[in-house]
Amino acid sequence: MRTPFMGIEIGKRALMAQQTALDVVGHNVANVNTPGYTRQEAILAATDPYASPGAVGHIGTGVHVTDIRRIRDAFIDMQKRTEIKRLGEFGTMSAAFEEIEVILNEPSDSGIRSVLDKFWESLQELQSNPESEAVRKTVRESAVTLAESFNRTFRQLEEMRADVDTSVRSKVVQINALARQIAELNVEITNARSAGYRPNDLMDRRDGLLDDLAKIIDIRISEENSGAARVTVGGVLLVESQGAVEIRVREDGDGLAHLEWPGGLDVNVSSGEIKGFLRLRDEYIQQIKTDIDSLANSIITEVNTQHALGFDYHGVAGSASFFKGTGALSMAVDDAILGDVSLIAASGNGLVGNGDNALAMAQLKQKLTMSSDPLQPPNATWNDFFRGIVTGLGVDADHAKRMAKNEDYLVNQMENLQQSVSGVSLDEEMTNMMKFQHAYQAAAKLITAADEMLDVLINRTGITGR
Amino acid sequence: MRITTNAMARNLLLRLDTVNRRALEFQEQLASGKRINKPSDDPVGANRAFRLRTSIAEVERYVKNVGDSKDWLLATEEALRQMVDAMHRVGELANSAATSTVPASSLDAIAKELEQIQEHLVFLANSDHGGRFLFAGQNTLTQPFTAAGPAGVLDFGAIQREVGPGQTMRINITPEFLDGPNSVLALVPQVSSLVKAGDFKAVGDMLTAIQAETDELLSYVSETGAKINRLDMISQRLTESNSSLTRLLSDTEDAEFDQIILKLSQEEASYQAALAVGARLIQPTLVDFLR
Repeated sequence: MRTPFMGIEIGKRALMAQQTALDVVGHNVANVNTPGYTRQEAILAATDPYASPGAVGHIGTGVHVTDIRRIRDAFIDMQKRTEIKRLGEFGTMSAAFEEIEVILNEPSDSGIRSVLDKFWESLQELQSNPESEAVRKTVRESAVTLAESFNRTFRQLEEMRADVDTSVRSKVVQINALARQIAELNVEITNARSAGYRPNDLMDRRDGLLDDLAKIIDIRISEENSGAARVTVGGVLLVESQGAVEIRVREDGDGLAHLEWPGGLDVNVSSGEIKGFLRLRDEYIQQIKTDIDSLANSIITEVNTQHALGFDYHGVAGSASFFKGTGALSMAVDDAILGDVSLIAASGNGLVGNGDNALAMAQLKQKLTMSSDPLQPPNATWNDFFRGIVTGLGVDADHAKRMAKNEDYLVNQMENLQQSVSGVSLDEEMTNMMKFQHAYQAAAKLITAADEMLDVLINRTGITGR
Repeated sequence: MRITTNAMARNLLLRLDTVNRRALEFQEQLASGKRINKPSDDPVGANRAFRLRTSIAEVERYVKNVGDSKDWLLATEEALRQMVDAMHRVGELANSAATSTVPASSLDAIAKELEQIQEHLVFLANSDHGGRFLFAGQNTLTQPFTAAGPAGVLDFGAIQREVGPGQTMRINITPEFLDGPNSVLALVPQVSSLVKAGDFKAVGDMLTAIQAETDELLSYVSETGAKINRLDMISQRLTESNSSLTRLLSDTEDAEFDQIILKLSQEEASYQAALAVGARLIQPTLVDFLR
């Protein structure tokens, strides 16, 4: 049997439900600019109907809020994280390539190509004027500039490689900090869930941290039944409901950092910023360093060999070597020649007016001395080889730049999709606000109506004849 | 697709950012005047520019070598011409001394002049170019001749200059023609002493030898002249290839200003359009219309 108080109860339920919905609208509006915020929605449902014996059908009992739902598409999240890790990898490389391009400083009139050309030119000049001390000094100075260019380039590459290694280490620190925070949130989320709450905002925070982590290293994420996120890297567990595993840094013989799990197993990194850093350190920078080094080594050896065949200003044979050192870093003009330019062996037969050996040294630039494959006979001149280094760098840098741009675009696309699902639209919230506001007003009216009805029943009924 | 408030703001920012980035690229090209500022701007073009720059440096080197060589040859030609002139005079004097009617006083004067000519010839044989002796082989810093003949052992080494890739040219005349009993330097003292001795017949016999030496000198003059001509031709060719290489380099790496400025103004227009659209769309929401 229905009671007259039923109307008040329905009204009260409606008031509470609409108010909760309005609060959710308020929360959305308040967080319209919060990064990583997912819009929420109060799910309204009719309460269980009431079948009163003898009455017709079910009688409704009002409304309640069954859930406050986070509106988010897990598939877009996954896709976005796939692109984010690639953006991390190529973004890192593209920025670093720009730095390498600055170090090599080509094409320009002050890079290694230019000082190398100037060195050959000075030797040609020496061939024409083997008697001139001024020209000999020019040869010495251009050789010093050449050696210093090699020294500087190599040192800068080495410093850059060390910087990249430092970045790897700081990224490991970041990974561990993020993993710890995610594990902490996991605990809070599972606790809230087991108490029957929906920890929407905590989940937003966790999603944000997962995005940050995905940018650094490629992770796979799955959600456990408890609501905890389970994160693996290369198939090995990083975070689960129980906590996070700490990735450690192991130093190899050269003092370079490698990632390993507590058990000593190497971390299998296949993408993300850290992969970008590792590729730069172990592939690109290393390759350019090796190439520059072998170029310098070849120049030192060949020039010295030819120089030893000549005669100096005084007609003395092979009295000093021209360059000393064995590679780009140690390359320098020999001390004896630095002190006395007459020791430069320009002459081919001991006569002062003969510049044949200077010419022979200058013509080394046309000799095939370098080979990109050590097993093959030399097939490139020094100039070709260095040009190859620069062009290779250009191609790699261009590729990284394009990839970074593409990934940036894709991540944006994904973020737009995410926004279109999860972002707060003020227009929509205002519309909802009005909707719930009207419903609230109407519910209040309903209570007033029930109140008036009860007033009639209680205060004005049965007073006939009083 | 749901369009949210922030998505519009974000997209506007992104669009402005993209336009600005492109404008920056054009700006960089305009400021440096170069289309390729880094190898990654155009790896293929950078490769070409790299090769062209080296070729230009080489050509410039050859141009300088050709110029130096030409100076050396001009100095040589001048010295040889003066020797020829001197030998003509020697021939004239010998001719006039070869007749019996010449009085003894004249013979004396002729012998004196021949001695002067001999001194001049030694001076010419010691001609130098920038402190380097022209007729000393590769021993360029040691004076090759004295009044008495060669100062020491003469060197006959050739001085070669590279005037093109793998193309060398000998620029010195080695001093064989100044050495030995029949050389220019040995001939004149002989004539002079015969004149002094008044041996008309012997002086007359010398005339052929004098003519032969003069002819040899003339052949050296024409050889030198021919080399100078060849150098002029090489120089012209080098200048041409230098200018075509420079043009190629410019085509490869220089920015085309009118095109870039045009593109830049297009970017400017789309930047302003994006700003205008943004200003109109970002501002209002439903809030503005609720009371």
